[in-house]
Order: sequence, then C-alpha cells, then structure tokens
Amino acid sequence: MNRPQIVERYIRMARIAGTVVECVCQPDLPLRLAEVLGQAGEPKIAAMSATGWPEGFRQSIEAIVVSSGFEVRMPCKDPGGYTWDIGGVEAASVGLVWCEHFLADTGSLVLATGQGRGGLSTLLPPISIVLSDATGCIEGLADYFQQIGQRLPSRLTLATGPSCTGDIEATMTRGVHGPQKVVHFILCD
Amino acid sequence: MKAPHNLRKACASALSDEVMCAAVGKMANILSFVRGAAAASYPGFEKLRDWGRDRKMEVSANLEFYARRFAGRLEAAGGVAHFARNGPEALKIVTSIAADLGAVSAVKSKSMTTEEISLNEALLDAGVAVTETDLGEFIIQLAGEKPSHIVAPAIHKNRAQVAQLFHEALGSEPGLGVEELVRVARRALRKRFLAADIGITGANFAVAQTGTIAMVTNEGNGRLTSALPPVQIVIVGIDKMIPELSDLPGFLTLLTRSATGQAISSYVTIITGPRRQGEEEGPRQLHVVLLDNGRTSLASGPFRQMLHCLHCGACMNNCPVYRTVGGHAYQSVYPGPMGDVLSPLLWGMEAYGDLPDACTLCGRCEEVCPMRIPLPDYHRKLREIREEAKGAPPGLKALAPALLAGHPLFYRAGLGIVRRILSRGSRLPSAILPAVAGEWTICRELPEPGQGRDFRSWWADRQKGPDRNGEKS
Repeated sequence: MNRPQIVERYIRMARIAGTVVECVCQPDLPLRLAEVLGQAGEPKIAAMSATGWPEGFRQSIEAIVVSSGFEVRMPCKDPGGYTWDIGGVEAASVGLVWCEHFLADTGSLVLATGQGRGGLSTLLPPISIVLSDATGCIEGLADYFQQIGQRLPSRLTLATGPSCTGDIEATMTRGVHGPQKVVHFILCD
Repeated sequence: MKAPHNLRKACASALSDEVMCAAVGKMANILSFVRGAAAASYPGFEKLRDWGRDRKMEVSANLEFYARRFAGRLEAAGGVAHFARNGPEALKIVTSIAADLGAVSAVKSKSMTTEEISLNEALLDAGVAVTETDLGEFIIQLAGEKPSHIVAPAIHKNRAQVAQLFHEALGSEPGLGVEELVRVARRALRKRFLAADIGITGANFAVAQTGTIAMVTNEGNGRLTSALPPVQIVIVGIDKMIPELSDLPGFLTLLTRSATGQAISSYVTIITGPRRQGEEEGPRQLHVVLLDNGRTSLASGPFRQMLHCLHCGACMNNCPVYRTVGGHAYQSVYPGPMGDVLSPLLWGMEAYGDLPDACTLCGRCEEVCPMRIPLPDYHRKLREIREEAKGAPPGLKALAPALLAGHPLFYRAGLGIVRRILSRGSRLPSAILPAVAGEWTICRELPEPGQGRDFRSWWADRQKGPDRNGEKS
C-alpha cells in the first residue's frame, strides 16, 4: 500500500471505532481547531502536552487554544524533569496532544509516555483532540515495534476510538472512564 | 477449598431466573455472531490460530524459563517481580506491599486471576477498601453479586435495577437512563481513581523478552488504574507469558477478535516498568506478582493446553449449556467450557468434579477457541478420571443392558417383555420407570409404543420375499 492508501485505511478503521477524523491542510487548521474547541463545554480549560510537538508547533496550537478563550494547563519543567497538577488536568474539558504514529490496520493512535508528553490529557478530559502528520501513519503494531526496536516507553497506549461500555443492557455508551469524543486532525499537504 | 456444589441444583436455580437467562443468552448470541464475522473478515485468521497455538506450546513447555526471563527484564526496567506458588502466598505479598505503604484504598481493573485467589476479600481484611472500576464489575460489587458473564458481568441487571442500585449506593436521582447512569459511574469512580493509594490490574499478556505487561479494556479503566495511583500491582498467572514483543500483535488480534469481534479494543495499555526519571505521570512503583497456583503442574500433565487459554470467552459464548444457564450456575470464577475444565484442575475434583458434565460434547468450543484447545476431549478425559477414581465395580444396573444386548436370544426376549409393559393402557411405566431409569425420566415423556411391528419381525418377513408391497430388492 502507498501512503494515501494507508491513510485512507486508517481513516476508515478509526471512524468505525468512533473517532472523528479530519484531514486538514495547515492553513485551515486554526479555523477547524477553533470550531471544535467552540463546541466543547465548560469549564474553558485545556490540558496540553509540553513536549513531543514538531518544532514551534506547540506555540501556534497554544495560541489558537488561548484565543478560543481557554486557559491552558501543561506539565511544568523543573530541574528534575516534568511535574503536573493532576487535579488541574482533571478539571479540563479538552486535552490536546501531538501523536507521532497511528496505525492503519486498527485505526489506533499510538500514545507513548515521555518527559512532558502529558498522557493524562488524552485520558481525563471528556474531549480528546489529537494532531498528527500524515507521514506518521503506519500499517500495524508490528511495523511500529520494528521501528522502535525494544526501546519501549514506560507506558504505550493504543487508543482506538472513545472510551466505551456495553455493560448496562448491552447498550453502547461513550465516555465511561476516558474521553467520550476523540477528534483526530491529520495534517496533509 | 470449597464445599462441593451440585451442578444440577445450581442449573435449576439459574434457570428459574428468566431475566438472567434471557440477558446472558442474548449477550452470548451477539458476541458469538460478532466473533464469527471478525474471524471471517480477517484474512489468514485460521493460520494465525495455528501460529498462536504453536507459540503457546513453546511457552507451556518452558514456563519457568519464560517466567524467570520476564522477571529479570522487568527488574531491569525498574519493576519488582514477586513469585507466588499459590493463592495465599500471592495474598501475603499484596497485603504486605499495602501495609508497607500504609494504603487504605485501591482501585482495580477487572482481573480473573485476582478473583481466582480472592484478593478483594484479603485486602478488605487488611483494611484496604477495594473498588472495582469496570462498570459491570462495579455494579455487581455494589449489589454484592457474582458475574453472570465474563465480558459483561452485570448483563443480568436491567437499567431500572441499576438505577435503583445507584440511587441507594451513590445517591443519584432515581429512574435514570443508561447514558445518565454511565455519567454517574464516571463521576463516582473518577474520585476513587484520584484518591487511590494502589492500582491493581491483571494482565492479558506478559512479554518475557522485555518484561512488558499488556492489557486490554474498552472502558479505559485499565489505563486509569495504571496511570493515576502512585503504586501499581499486577497479578499475572505465569501462563500469560509470550516469548517476544513481536508476538504481541498476533496475540492481540486473536484475543480481541475472539472476545468481542473488535479489530482491537479501545485501549491496549503496554507497560514496561514504572514511571521513569523526569516523567510527570504513572506509578512510582510497579510490582508484578507471578502466580503459579497449580500452573506448573498443569504444564506437565495431560491438560497442558489449558495454559494456553486467553480468557476471551469465545468458548462460553458459543456453548449451548452456558447460553442456556448463564455464568452463575457454574459457581466458579471460571464459567463455561474453559471453566468446566480449569476449575476441577485448579481446585480439585472434590469440589468441582461435576462441572465436566455441563457439556454436550458438541465441539463448538474447540471450533472457536483461538488457541484450538481440545476442550471436548478434556471434558471427556476429566469424566473418565472422575469415574475411575470412584473405582466401584459395575453394578447390576450397568450390567443388565450389556447382558441383554449381548445375545440375540436375551435381546429378543427382553424386547418382548418391554413391548408388553409399554403397551397402551398399561399403568406400569409411570410406576416403575423412575425407579429403573432414574433421573432420565424427570424431564422426558415416554412415547406411545408403535401400533405396528418391531423392526426385527418386519425384517424377517421382508427376507421371506413374496410380500414386499412393491419394493424393489
């Protein structure tokens, strides 16, 4: 499969799992992102990862989030590494991270821990916004493992669609523990 | 370990709960259907099953090697490995970790292995309040009940019952709908996640090569349990080993497609050691308790392939007995076909010897088992072992049919007597049959004997030739 085919497959699988996937070109991103943020409920607090973004990109995303009326919470850098106030993340209505790799075979986001990666921002807030570049799309988990060798992060999460349960009368319901809405913006040329 | 239970009685009582039977039957039906579709839509699924079985054969032949390798790699990644030979040892390890921490609360994501060793009860005795965080498990924990289904433990409760339960236990408004009930659970459980001293999880796979734990959930509670509390304890049976990281994708495919028909579960959490230097989240301590509890001895016996079980539930979802009676009737942590075999092997024939009878030998479980475990064969073997252990010489009851069928003369004479007894108008059958045929007659009606001849006399006449009613020879 060539790149566009792989991305197409990802989009199909991710949508089946309930992820809202949008391919956007970079000039359109501010508008689209502001639109999604505008639909988020109160309080207007966003949790963001401090690291993992492409050079300079975090600042421009942060600017969009702030201009949408949100207060931003991020892991803080101190001499020993990063720390963050979990209660602060818990209060956020939206979480934003950059996701380097995503898997076409299953429609999964590959979320790896690391200093300042702020993984909880994809888990605690009810809305999770994830941004990636189309070049980050790979076929399956096996290909990902091949890329990283045995250098595993302390936590690697494959997140596929929103958190869901069918435990009451087999009625599928979203957002039981994690996000009820996952929006994935894929930057394409 | 447990008083012997009476399968027949338990089934009768389960069958009287029509709501539960209907709910479990429906759930199993749905899951069986989606499993079929998921297997059919994955090219090479049958080959993948062969591969999975072969990899697990490698593990079960070298259990100790892989468990030790795992422990070494885990410790290199900063985790702490503990070996427990049996349930009590595992409980002691967990409760002493809790005591060292001065822990008072723990959150737990669904784990059959912790139920196998009754961990919740032990922690409660040690002063640690445990909250089950899988929604279904949380519901039945509040209700003080047992799971009726391995994937959907509270499927036997309808929304009105859950609403009433939440109203009483959590103070929510009465009469809420499903969506609102899920919100109530989210808020209640989130508070407990944030306050918990310990997160306790099981594992779906343990990668020996890297000391990695992998677990799957749809709700995300496994991810929260392993991300928020300052200490995580993983209880894992040593049978959950897989040799290498490159084996994980294949096993995940087999597990999730067989369990819920999904290409993958919503969350797969892959854990290698505790939080690392400079990271802002994750537990500071990661303990992994490697539980044997009879697994090593299983590995050297005739039921070795039971160690390959992924606990996907496909065997039960496709089992005619399980679909009819539901999980409660088995009165074991492990229900359905895999439970029929595993329960007597883990906890003895004395307590669970009648479970292998909960099987029609239809073979469907083996057909759908991702690991191709020969479950019907194991059921038969266990029955044989049980009967051999009884060691009683065959009584007259068992000999009589053999004698009757053994010689044409006896057979003809016996047939004549039976025909006369069963002839219309005779009151004899209803009087003597229960005594002679025992429980066979409890739920069966004796058919009216035929008006015509028996087969033997018809055949004899036919052989004579002339009167064949136009039949061709």
